[in-house]
Amino acid sequence: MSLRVLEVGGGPAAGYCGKLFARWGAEVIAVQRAEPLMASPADRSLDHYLHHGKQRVALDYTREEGRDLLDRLAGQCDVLVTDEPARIIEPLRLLEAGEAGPPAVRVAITPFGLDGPYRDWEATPATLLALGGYTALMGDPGRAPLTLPIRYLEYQSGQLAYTAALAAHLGGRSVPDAPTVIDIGMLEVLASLSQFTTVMWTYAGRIRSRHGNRWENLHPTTLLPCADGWYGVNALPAFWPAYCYLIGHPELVDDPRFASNADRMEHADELDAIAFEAFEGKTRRQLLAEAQEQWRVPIGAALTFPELLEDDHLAARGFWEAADVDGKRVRMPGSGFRLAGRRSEPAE
Amino acid sequence: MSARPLQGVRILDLTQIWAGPLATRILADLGAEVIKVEPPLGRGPAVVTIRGGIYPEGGPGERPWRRQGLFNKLNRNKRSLAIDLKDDEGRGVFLQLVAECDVVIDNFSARAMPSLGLDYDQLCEVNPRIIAVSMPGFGMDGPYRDWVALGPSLEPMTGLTALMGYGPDAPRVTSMAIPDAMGGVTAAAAVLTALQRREETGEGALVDLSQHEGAVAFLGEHLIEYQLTGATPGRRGSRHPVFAPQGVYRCLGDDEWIALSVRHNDDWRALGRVAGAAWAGDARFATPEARREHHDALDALLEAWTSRCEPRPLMERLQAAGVPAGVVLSAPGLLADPHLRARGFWVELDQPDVGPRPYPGTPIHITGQPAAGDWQPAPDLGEHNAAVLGGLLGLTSEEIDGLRARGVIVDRPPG
Repeated sequence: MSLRVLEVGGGPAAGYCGKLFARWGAEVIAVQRAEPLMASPADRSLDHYLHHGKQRVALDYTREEGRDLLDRLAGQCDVLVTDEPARIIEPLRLLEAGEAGPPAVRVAITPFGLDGPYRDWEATPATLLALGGYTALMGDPGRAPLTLPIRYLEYQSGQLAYTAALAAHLGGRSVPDAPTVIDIGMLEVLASLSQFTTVMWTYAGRIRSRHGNRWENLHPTTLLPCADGWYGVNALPAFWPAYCYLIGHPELVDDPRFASNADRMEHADELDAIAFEAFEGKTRRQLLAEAQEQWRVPIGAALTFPELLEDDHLAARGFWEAADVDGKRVRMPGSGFRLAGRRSEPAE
Repeated sequence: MSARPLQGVRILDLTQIWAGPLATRILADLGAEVIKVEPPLGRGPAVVTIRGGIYPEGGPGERPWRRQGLFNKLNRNKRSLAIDLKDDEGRGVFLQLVAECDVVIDNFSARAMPSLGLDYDQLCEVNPRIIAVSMPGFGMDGPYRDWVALGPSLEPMTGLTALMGYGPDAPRVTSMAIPDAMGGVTAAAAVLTALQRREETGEGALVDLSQHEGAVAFLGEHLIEYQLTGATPGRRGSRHPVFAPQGVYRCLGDDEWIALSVRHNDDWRALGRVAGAAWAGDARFATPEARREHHDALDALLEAWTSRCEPRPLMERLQAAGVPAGVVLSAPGLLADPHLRARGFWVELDQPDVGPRPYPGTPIHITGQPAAGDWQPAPDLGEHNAAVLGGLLGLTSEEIDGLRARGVIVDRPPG
């Protein structure tokens, strides 16, 4: 796409937004206040993943001279996206039109948004996931809840920022000569994307809670061991008969202990013990083949990183993109989607 | 009020369950006209005899298809056309609509649209500029193309389970089918990418979206690091590779918890001042490296302190000192949270057959546009049959009645 994007801040949320723009052909200029520290392989991996294909400028825009330069750069861009905190954004006027002219769209991704009582509170993904209703659902009853070990929040915020910025760009300016400002609060990103946490309460008066590897209201939906690792199953009621055949007990289809989903939840321990006995001698690959190709039951193997990187399906689809990091050739996840024309035209 | 940014974009939405409807809800919130194309039994039979779903007080009631909480949450601001695409006449009507639309989106299995005679090339025959988005679990080709994929079974396939759990031998799942939310937001981004591309080139596109790949993309830096070092981060509970301490700590009360992170020494000193405890000055915890090394001991000391504190006042004291802290909220606390309420995040919609309820709003606030001023509750099944077919295709009321009489369109589920 023929857009020029200015990314200001360098955090993972703006970084992921900019990454998507760069992936789809935009010219992305990533401005950070200082050269990033590359102390560890983790730092270098994240930096390469987020900033591959961008131009980079290290500029102290908290100083007046740097701010002027940033303003001039912004005036040359279609979109500005920042994940600086609100207390930095406001005095630096990052969302206001500068003398060089406004980019059409300016997007701020902040933990709590640009106003409200928590606006200037400190946050990390772990504290936001707690406030956002996610942590309460993960982990075992009676033990400390768990947080998410990936940058889910930052990358979802970045994807939404990308989506909103493109929508605003396509929709044109709402006010002539002023930028369209988009305020994305990460706590709201979480609350808006939750599955049924809030409707279970507002509709049914039930509070969703954590159940280890089991599901709130479905069984068998869980994670279980087999010969060489773990597998996840999600046998919704429509899959129940096929699941009985998969575990080698077709007679269970008519067993009153398991007649309804509520019955299967009540007798979940018995059911999982039967599945364990059926699968303890089988590998994940054997299970996948039987479940998916013979019985069409939604089962997924818990893949390790090396297995994922060698996975036939991802390789066949050309998912990985090659990159050089620290002088080493590595495979990097490609885009979650591809665009193609009619069958004769190759995908992008 | 200025126009919403996607006003004028028209989407035929064949998606079901979660990921797809989430994508089109995001687009509808941004102003797109989303026509939800539903099969007659898309919301189940008219009479529900088996418990299931999330219904308001009174259970499924006489019109269960209008009372499903998850459906209503995901389908606001959309119109509903209930039409049988397996019927030749229904398929013909659908193709006429394709000619009037910008986007067709489905989250069926990869073979479903071709089997309906509605693959991308067939859509292009009536609208060469159409953007067709298909989002099956594993994409439109490859060895797993036809595998059944739902969020909970897809999640382990993404590698996330390798990182999630209390320790090396105890993998855990999110129990939230999180790949659906990843796929939904990815699909919204994909639609905008294709619209921008069409704006620049004039060309439509087929968007092949694998929900599996959309989720694996969230692990990108971990997969690169593994290739550099040969080591995976492993499962480490709620700890952070750099911040120390970080964890979820018990508070006073029944199942009350607080998450806190110490990012650097300034946070550590501030935490020490709030706690006023001797351990804050312990040399074992003087540096981030030392705190990571003695994390177990530190967790025990921290929890001995937090477990004597009410969670919300503790969070406020820590925040006042500049330490990132968040109470672990479940639904009632989330709905009551003063910040989300002050921002007007929850939107009350008066859903027919349900009554007024608060629903999650949008995290995208655009200058000059009230977030939810003109929002509509989720549509009834086939509520907009006549409006869509008459308004977009110019069908007369007699023609529409004929389609209804022949069962091609419906306005309540069979059964």
